[in-house]
Amino acid sequence: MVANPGWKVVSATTKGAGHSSLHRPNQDREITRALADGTTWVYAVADGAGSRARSDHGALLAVEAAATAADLVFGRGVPNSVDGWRTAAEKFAKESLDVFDRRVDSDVQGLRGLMREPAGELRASYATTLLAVVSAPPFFAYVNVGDCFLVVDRDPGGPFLVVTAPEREHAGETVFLTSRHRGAHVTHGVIMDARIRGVALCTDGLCEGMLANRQTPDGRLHSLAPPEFSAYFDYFSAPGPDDNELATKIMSREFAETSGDDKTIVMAVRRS
Amino acid sequence: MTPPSGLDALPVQPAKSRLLLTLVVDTSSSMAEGGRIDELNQALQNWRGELTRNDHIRRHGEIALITFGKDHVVALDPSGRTAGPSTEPYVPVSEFNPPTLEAGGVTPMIDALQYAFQLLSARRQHLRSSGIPLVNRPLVYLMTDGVPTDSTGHRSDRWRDFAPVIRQQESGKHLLFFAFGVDGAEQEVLQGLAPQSWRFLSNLSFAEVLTLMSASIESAASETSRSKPAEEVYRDVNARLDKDARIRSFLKGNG
Repeated sequence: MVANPGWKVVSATTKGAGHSSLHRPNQDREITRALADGTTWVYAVADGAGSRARSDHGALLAVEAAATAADLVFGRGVPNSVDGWRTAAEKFAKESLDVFDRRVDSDVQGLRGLMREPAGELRASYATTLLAVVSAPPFFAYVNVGDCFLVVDRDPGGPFLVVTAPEREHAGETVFLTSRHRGAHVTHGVIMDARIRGVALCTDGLCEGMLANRQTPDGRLHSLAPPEFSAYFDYFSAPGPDDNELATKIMSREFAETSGDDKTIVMAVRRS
Repeated sequence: MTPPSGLDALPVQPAKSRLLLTLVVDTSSSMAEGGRIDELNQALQNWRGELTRNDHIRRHGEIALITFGKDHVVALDPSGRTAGPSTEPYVPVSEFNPPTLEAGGVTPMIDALQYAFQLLSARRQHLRSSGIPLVNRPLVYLMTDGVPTDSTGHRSDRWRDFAPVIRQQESGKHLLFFAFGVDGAEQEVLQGLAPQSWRFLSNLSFAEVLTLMSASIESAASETSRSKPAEEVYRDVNARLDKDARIRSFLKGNG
């Protein structure tokens, strides 16, 4: 893939064994796209809700909405201050949701003539999570709804889990872009750090295989990016390894044994 | 041996979460009638192979086997390595090798369920303290051919007091509970203990009961079930079991 100068982007997605046995399609989607200036990029992953009929299409609409929103907000140039990025990140989040809503509403209008389901149920059938990042190093803006996760790798410092799902055990109902109460669960933010040498956006199917856990004194379990996560950034920063190799890895039996979910990852890494 | 290099060397974290399966099985004297206990033993052995064929369950699953009847209430070693009560009631599904069960005694069903819930809670706490979450809710299965009794063998209605405990555990997303009864079981008890997840299987073999359990495990342990309320999971499981039953019926009719 053509990448922004000095950075390389690889991505892969694979259907989980659990979905194969239930004859469901891969309901994850991802997108990587350069904005008009050629140096700012948008990356997004989305995980369609397994039990919803149109969630794979919902996931596609979600990543496309993030790309459209990135164009709207950052397409004419990126801010040059942290405050400017904060404002832009908030707008990016709002536009991502608005564009998604418009696309889904348009689809639902079309379906209402064909289907008996009420509009609310049709909308719910597009249930999906979304994690999107606009990257113009050293600035990164993100928006998240649901249980995808974002890891950044710092040199020095190693990997940090920046965006994560709530504690997975006893987690409440997953929040989707179609959830009525999603507004209370949208997170967005800005990272400014010239030492970041890689970002990885993952759907929750990779949580078991790539993250570790620790228990805090209050008894709660929290995820963290273990030091060995850096090996992925090391490996894919080299010229050779590509999307196919990343796909081979996440399709491996090692990963299949960690989770039956669909698995999707987008990595952007500074070239070695 | 050459260490892995390149792509193969990229680390994958070991599976952390666990799926806890707890079987609470009737071994009271009625199970001796008509060779039922032998049929159950054979079915459990066959089921073992079925369980371990599923990569995800083999890798994440832990199983406990609690009997009620012979020797009152006992948590047996599900790996079959030691006879009698086990100090480690949960073993990995990959090590599941059920011991031969024997029938005898009365039917202390509620004592067994209370004990099962205690063991489950202890195992959950131990896993948490080791940094291991339960992403999927534990599944508890009751299999019986009788009605609950007290220690003298008289019918007991204590199940009415225990049913709210199960509802509380379900609403807290601490577990999912299924009750399977065969001829001799009382539908009122099954329905009272598991209003949305009970099955009375007249004329069905234990092998068929265990096949239903497998289907329910796949359905209840799927990632789509993780965050759903118990009643929604039970609805999905029932839909799956009904569909499987229709397919079996169709195949028999055309067999």
